[in-house]
Parts: sequence; C-alpha cells; structure tokens
Amino acid sequence: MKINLKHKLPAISNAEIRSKKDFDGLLHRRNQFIIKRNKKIRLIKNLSWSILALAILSTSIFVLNRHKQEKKKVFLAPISALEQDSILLEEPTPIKVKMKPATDTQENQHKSKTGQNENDDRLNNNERNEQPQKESSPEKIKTVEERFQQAYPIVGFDSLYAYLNNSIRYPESTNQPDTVSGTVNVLFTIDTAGKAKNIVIENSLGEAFDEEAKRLLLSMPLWEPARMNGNAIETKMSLPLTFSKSE
Amino acid sequence: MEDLISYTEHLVNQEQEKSLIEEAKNNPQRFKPLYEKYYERIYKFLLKRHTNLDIAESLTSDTFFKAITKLKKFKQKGAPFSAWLYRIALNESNMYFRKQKKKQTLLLNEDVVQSLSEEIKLTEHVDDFKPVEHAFKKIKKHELELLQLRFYESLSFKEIGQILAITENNAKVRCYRILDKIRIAIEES
Repeated sequence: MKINLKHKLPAISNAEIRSKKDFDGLLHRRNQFIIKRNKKIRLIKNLSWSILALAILSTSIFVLNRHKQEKKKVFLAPISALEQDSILLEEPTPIKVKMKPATDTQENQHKSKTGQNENDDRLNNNERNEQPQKESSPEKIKTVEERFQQAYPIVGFDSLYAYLNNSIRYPESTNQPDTVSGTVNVLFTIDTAGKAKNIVIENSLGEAFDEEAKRLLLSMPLWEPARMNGNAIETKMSLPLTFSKSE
Repeated sequence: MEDLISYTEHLVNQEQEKSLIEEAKNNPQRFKPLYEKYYERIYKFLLKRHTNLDIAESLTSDTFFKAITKLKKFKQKGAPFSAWLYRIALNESNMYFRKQKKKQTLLLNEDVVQSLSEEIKLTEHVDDFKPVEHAFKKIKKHELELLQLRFYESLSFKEIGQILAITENNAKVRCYRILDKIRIAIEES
C-alpha cells in the first residue's frame, strides 16, 4: 500500500483542542441540514402527488376517450353514404356498372334453371343499396356527377332491355342438346363513340352462344359514352344474357 | 476496591450516556455533553491519521455532524456510542483520502516505533525508521486501520472489534497476524 509517512505530529495542546469545540455551530449546521432535507422531502412529496394526479388524470382521459371511440364505432359501424361518396370524390375513377335485363320473365327463368342468378341478385342488391345512399346525400351526388357521368343507352335502359329480349335468339345450329340453357355474363367496353367493343364472354355455354351474344351487343342501339369532367371516356360494362330454348 | 469504584463509575457513566443519547434523539441540545466528552478523543484520532490540524478539525466537525443527524439510527443494543463515533470518524477519514486522491498518511514517530518494538518483541533494538517504514508499506489499508486503533488510541481488542464490526477474538488474531507480518518484514530488511 502506498502511504505517506510522517514522523512528526503538529503540536497542539488540549486547551487548544477544547477551544475548537463549537457546539452552537454544529447545531446551526444540523438545523440548516434539517430545513434543507425537509424542503427536499416536501418537494419530492409534492412531485410524487403531482405525478400521481397527472397519471390518474391522463388515465381517466384515456379511458373516457376510448369509451367515446367505442361508442362512435358502434354508431358508425355501417359505412354511411357520406363516407362512400367521399371515397368516390377522392378517386373519381369510372365505376364498373353492372346491369341486368329488367324482364320479369327472364328473371323467373334464371331462378328456376341455374344457380348463377345469385351473382345477379347480389348486383341488384348493390344497386339497391346505392340508391338510398345517394338519395341521402344529394349534395355529394351532385359533386360526383359533375366529375363523372356513367354511360347509358341513348334510347334508354327500358328500350335496350326490350331490344335484348326481342332480339336474343337461341342458336339453331348448335349441336348441344335442347336442354342447354343458362345465363352468360358479357363483359364489354363502351368506347367514346358509344359502341360496344372488347366483348368477352364469361360462363360460356358454347361457341354458338358466344357468337349470338357478340352479335346482339354489336348490333344494339348506340350508347352515350361515360364522361369524366365532360370528356368522353371508355367504360367497362357487364351484362347477363339468358339463353332459353323455350323462347 | 479502587477497581470496583472505577467500574461502578463506568457503569453509571454508561447509563447516563444511554439516557443522554435517548434524550438527544428528540432534543439535539442534549447532545452537548456527548460532544464535550468525545470531541478531544475523536480530534486526536483524526489528527494522528492526517497529521494536519485543519483537516483534523474539519473531519471532527463532520464526524459530529453525521452523529447528530443520524443519531436516531443509533441503537443501544449494538456497539457503544464511542465505537459508533470512531466508526464514523474512520469512514469520514477514508472518504477524505478517497475524495482528495491522496495517499494514506501514517504517523511513525519514536513513540509509535517504541510501542511497536515492545509489542512485536524484536530481538534487536530498532534505531532507524527505515525497516519499520518498509514493513508498513507491505501491509494493507484495513490492517493499518486496526494497528492505528491499537497503537494510537490504545483501544482494547473488544473496542476495536466493536468499531470494525468484528469479534474481539477476530480483532486479536488479526492484530497479531499483522504484527507477525511486520516483524518478519523488519527482520528481513
């Protein structure tokens, strides 16, 4: 161990040592220390209480907010028409319009013959859902219409459906048994001139049926093309066509 | 007969001291007799450890300040009040060396060397300090503390044990081991 060796002790008498005693000074130092310590303790106590109060406050605010949010969630669970429209306003892309010939006779045939009508029903439901939503917010609809206008037959949908009903022919040349019937889904694009193109047949019943569907669409009345901010644009459409021997 | 009288006085003093401590715990003014009683002893102990009047005074003041502020923690069942004070003084002294990053000071005057020679029963009389200095450089810090309490303060092994928080026997064994170490170191040199 490193030590500093000393051989002499500083000379001091007992009287001198006694004269160094200062009990009052010691008491004063002690009192000052106690005051400081008490202040510190008070400060820590106050700080602790403040932190505790803050913690309770923030927790209660958090809980209340959460409660409110839960309430809001319950209220806003179904997507409102307003929200849907706002989505449309943000991204005004052409909407894929799905239509269905509005003839009761056809509908009945579909239901009785194939299960593919489920899709159609769903589409109809969507349309029905859209209707009340749009009605509930007319201002929004106006805004959307200003920007995007759907394609529609110049002669009107009723006349178009009538045309389709009257013109559809069961292919005579088909080798298929007579019992073949059903609905094909025709996807097509209405170009800027209002004519159908890019015809694609889904759920094909056979080549002859496809040809008949294409013929029907290519010879249908002209459409008014969809418009985006007044400019004609191409729009994709879909249309179910029902083939039935009984017709 | 004189021994009996002194022993009785000692007991009376001890009881008085205990009651004073208990009173001083609630009323710091009652600490004064204890301060008066032990100030000189603590001052001299610290003076021998530091060989500086100002440092000894400052550390004595710090020792009594610690004692008066921590008096409520002192328990009568443990070591006596004097041992408690010595322990505080020793801690303050060690803290000073540590804070100041100074080497431990060791007083090695004729009196110390003389008493040490008697204790370790050297065969040859030591005139020169150098072998003793050399021997002291070989011992450790806690060993030096024990020797200082034994030879500077002339405390009993019981009191040394109470200050260093070891048993009386342990204090005795340690002390003689250290002395053996010093004796061997002196003889080798």
